[in-house]
Amino acid sequence: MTLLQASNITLSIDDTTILDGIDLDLQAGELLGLIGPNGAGKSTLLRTLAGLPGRSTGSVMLGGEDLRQMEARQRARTIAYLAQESSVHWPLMVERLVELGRLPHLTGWQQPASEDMRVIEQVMKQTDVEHLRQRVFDTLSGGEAMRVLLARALAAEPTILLADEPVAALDPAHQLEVMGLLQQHCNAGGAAVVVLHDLALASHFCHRLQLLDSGRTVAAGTPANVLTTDTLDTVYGIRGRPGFNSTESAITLPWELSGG
Amino acid sequence: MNSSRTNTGLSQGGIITMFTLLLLLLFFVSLTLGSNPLPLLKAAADAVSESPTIISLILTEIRLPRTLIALLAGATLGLCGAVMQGLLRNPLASPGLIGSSSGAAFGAVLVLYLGITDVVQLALPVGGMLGSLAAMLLVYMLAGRDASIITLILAGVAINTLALALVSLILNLAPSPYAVQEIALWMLGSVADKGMHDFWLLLFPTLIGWGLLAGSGKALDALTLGEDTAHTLGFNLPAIRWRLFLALALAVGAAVSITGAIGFVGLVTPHLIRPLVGHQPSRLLTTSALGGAAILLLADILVRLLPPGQEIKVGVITSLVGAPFFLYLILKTRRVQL
Repeated sequence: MTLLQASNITLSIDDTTILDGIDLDLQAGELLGLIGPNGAGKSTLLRTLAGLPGRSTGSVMLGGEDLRQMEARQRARTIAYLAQESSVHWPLMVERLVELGRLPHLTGWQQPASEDMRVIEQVMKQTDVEHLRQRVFDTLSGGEAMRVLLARALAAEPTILLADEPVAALDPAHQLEVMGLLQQHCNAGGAAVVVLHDLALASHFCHRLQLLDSGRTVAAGTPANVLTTDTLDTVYGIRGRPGFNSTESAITLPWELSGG
Repeated sequence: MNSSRTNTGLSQGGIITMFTLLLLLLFFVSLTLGSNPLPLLKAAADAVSESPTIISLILTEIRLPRTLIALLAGATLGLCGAVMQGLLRNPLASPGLIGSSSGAAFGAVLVLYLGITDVVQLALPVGGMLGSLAAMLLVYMLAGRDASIITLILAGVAINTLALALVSLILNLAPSPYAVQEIALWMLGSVADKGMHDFWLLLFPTLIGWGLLAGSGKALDALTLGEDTAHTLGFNLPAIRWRLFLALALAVGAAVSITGAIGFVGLVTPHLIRPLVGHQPSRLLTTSALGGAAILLLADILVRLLPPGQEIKVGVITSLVGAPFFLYLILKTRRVQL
C-alpha cells in the first residue's frame, strides 16, 4: 500500500536548482534510505515531505490527500519529523520532552490523559529511555539523546517517520541501535524515510535506496541495484567494489577516491 | 499524576495557590501602607456609606488605584517576559528587547509633548499602544516574515535605539523645563498618583492582550524543539507569532503608557519562577504573571517604606535590582557556553 507519494518535486532559488523533478513513493512497512553527496537535496526533499513551509512545487499525496491542504494537526498525527540538528532550547526533563510528542493529539487546554500517558510509557520502553525519565535532556550522551528524540517522534503514534541523518553523530553501536528502532517501526506496519551518509548502514537496514545527486534521482531500488561500482564513481567520486554478502545486504569498506 | 509534579515536588496548582495567597496579603498591605497607615475596615465601611470621609477617599482615590495598577502592570510584565522568552527561546528576552516597551514610551511621550492628554485622557494609553504596535511591526517588517531569532533580536535593538533617540529628540524640543521634567519623571516609571480612571484605561487593553496570550502555552512548548519541529507538530507558527505580537503590543503598550517604563520585571520574573516550576514554557505563564504582580507590588510597597522626602520612583528600584541580575544572567550564559 502506498502511504506517501511525491511527484515532480522541484525547487529553484534564484538561478540555482535544488530539486529537479523528484518522484518518491513510500510503501507501508518500508524503510527507504535517501542517500547522496552533500548538497544533493536530500534534506530539502525530506522537509518537503514533512510539509514544512518552503517554495518547492510538485505534489505530495498522503493517503490520497494533498499534504499541503491537510489540516496541520492531522498531518502531525500521521507524519513525525526528526530534524537534522535537533536542539532542545530549555533544559527539560526527558519525560516532559517525550510528552511534547503528544501535542498533535491534544486540543486547546487539554492536558495529557491516561491514554496519552500509556503511549508515552510505551514509547519510552520501546526506545529504552525509561531509566532516563528524570534526567535533564542536556546531560544525556549522544546515543541517549537520539533515543529520547525518537521517543518524542514516536509518541505521536505516526505512520510515517522522516529522519534527517539520525545516526550521523553516533558511535557504531548506537548507530545500530537507532537504525534497529527505525526498522522496528516499519516492521510494525509503519514506514520511514531516512537520510543517511553511511552507505553500509543504508544497505544493511533499508529495503530500498533512492540516490540523489544535484537535485535529481540518479538511481532507485534495492541496495544492490543502487550501490554499483558505476554509481559510486559517478556520484560520489569514489572507487571501490561494493561487496555484498550472501543475503545481498551488507556492503564492505573501505573506499578510495576515484581518479589519479 | 506524575506529569503535574514540578521540580520542587509542589504541584502546579499548589504553586499558583501559594502565589495567589501572597498577592492577597500584599494587596492588603499595599492598601494599608503609605505616608499614614490606614484603618482599612473603617475606610472601606466609609467608602460604601452615603458620605465619604477623608480616609475612605484616600483608600478609593489613591491607594486602591495604585495597588490595582501595580497588580495589572506587574502581571503583564511578568507574563509578557515569560511569553517573549518562550517565543524567542532566549532567556535574555523581555518586552524591552523587541521594541515594545521603548515604542510604547515614544508613543506616550509624543502624546505628552503634543499636550493631547490635557484634552483627551484616553490619548495616553492609545499613544502607548500605537507606539508599541508600530515598533513591533517595524521590527517584524525589518526581520521578515520567517525571521530567525537572531534577525529578530537585531531588528529589536535597532528599533529600540530609534525609539529612544526619538524620545531624546522630543525632550530636546520640549517647550519648557516643566514639560521636560514631566516627561523625564514619567519615563522613570511609577504607579503612584494614579486614579481609578487610569486603572479603567489600563484594564481593557490589558484583558484583551492577556486573552490573546492565553492558550499559547502549547505552541511555546513545541517551540522548545525548534521552529521546524514545532511546525511538524501541527502549529501554524506565522499565525501564532502575529497573535502573540499583537497581544504583547496591547498589554505592554497599555502598561507602559500608564506607568512609564518599569524595567527588568519582565526579564527577571520568569527566572525567579523557573526553579519552582521547571523550564517548560507553558508552566511559566500563569506563575510568571502572578510573580510579576507580586514583585511590582512588593517594590512599590518598599518605595513607600523609604524615608519621606524626595520620592524614589518604583521603576528606579526595579532597575537598580534588575540590572545586576541581568549582568549575572549574561555571565551565567557565558559560563555555559565556555
